[in-house]
Amino acid sequence: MSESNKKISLISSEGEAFEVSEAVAREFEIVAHMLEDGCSGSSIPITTVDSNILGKVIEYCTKHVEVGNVEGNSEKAEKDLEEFDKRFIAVEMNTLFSLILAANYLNVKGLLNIGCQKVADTIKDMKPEEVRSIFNIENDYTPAEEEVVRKENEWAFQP
Amino acid sequence: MINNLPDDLLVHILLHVPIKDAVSTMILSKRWRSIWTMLPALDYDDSDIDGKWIANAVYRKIRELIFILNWSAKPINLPNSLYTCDTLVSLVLSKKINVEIVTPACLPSLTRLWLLSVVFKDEDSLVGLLSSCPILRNLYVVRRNEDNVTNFNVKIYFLETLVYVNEYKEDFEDSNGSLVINSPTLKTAIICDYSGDSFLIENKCFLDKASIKVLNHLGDDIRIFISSLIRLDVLLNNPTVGCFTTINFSQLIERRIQPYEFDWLKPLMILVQNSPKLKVLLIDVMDQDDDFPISWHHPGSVPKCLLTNLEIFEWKEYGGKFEEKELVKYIFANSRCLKRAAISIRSKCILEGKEKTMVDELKSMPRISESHALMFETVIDWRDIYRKGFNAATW
Repeated sequence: MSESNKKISLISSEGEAFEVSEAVAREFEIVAHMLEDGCSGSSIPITTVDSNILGKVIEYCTKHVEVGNVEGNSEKAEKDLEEFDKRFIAVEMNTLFSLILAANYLNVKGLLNIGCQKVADTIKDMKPEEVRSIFNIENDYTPAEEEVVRKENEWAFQP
Repeated sequence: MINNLPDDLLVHILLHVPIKDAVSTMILSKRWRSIWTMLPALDYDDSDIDGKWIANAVYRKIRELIFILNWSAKPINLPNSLYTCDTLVSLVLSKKINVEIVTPACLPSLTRLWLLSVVFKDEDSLVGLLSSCPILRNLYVVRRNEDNVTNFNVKIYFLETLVYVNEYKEDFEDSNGSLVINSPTLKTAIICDYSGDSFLIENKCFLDKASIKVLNHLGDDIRIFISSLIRLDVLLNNPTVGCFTTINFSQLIERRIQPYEFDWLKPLMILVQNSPKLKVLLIDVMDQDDDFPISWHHPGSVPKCLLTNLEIFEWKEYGGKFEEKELVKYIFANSRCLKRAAISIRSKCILEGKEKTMVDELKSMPRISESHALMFETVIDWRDIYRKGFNAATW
């Protein structure tokens, strides 16, 4: 069996096993490091990520590995991948935050970037009140405190 | 929930948000109040510039500020509070910035100041700024024409490193400006002044390292300061040669010379003669016109450094003229300790197909040092290809 066909099991926090090729597993930098450090064995526990999110991260990495392997026609492939990323990241907020956390933990840089970009795009041009409500942020300032903070950086709050 | 994300991820998100929006997140909740201040770099775009954010940064006890303003209808002024910021350690101001000191400045923590192509309101603003930095160690200045300063005075007591670049002026022969250095602890000075301004060192300082590239006469007062140098890099031309060839460089270990429209071989040998400890000699004739006549005079006695010290000899853009060959022959025949000679052939000669003959000739020159490695570098200056016209047959 050639190196690239080697299978590895990633175990989610619920104990569910996801079988992926080594190439896909290596997209998780944390796994790549484990493999390089000689941590052999074919199953790797990912205890902080649940099945739902782990499945999604694997889907993301699989697509990126597949596209990376296709030769020629790179422009079209890149465009496809962009489309894929766009659709992939269009999820509801809590899933988005879980994906960012998982990408950060597993060190999947591409996913971390598109996740953060997505949140940033949502925040952009929004009033603080809107940001609070969309992200469920509790305002723990007293009105007087809020006024002080606002004064301090008035310029940032002007349109 | 977004509140489940650790601070570093929230910072990562804010990196993708325009600065104004990032700052305004401080109002969201107490936790968010400080998140934006952890941003490693604040990139402001033009529309956000009105100086208020600098005032804000000063208020937040900024330590390092790099401010480059590329496009703006006119140079902008920065808030006065910037010039009295007691936490600022490093300040870089570049391009469309008008440095105006209205109230007395005070930058007690500043150790590094870079002023790159800025404009000063007047000479007093420059003086006011420099005199407000009592512990400044590192000053880097790039001047442009019409920056409202005629006499650039560097009077900073603890300054250790000065880099000063002044651009070429059309009327450089009539220049009445000056660079005056008064910094007793200065160790490294890199001066590239093509403006025609005069250059003076006013106080006692003993430099270790200097690069002096000026187009005009150097005053006698410079001599004492450069006589103690360990490393020296000079532009050798008619106005400067008188100064450089009459100094005894008793400590000098490394020397780089760049002749500029000048018959430089004889002065070079005098410099070598006057540097008994010289270990490294670098010659760069990149800026010398190929057609400029040069002459070779066999020295009366062998310079001491060749007999006992010189280990490295490098020549950039060697053209293989008779006189140049004589110099290499002389160095090879007399440098007893030479370990390495590296010569790069002038790209014009390479393009003319002369390289191999020249290299063979250099290789056949008798060498007195047995442990002497001779190396050749092929670096083609693209300007020569351009001059010659691109010719596919050459390649």
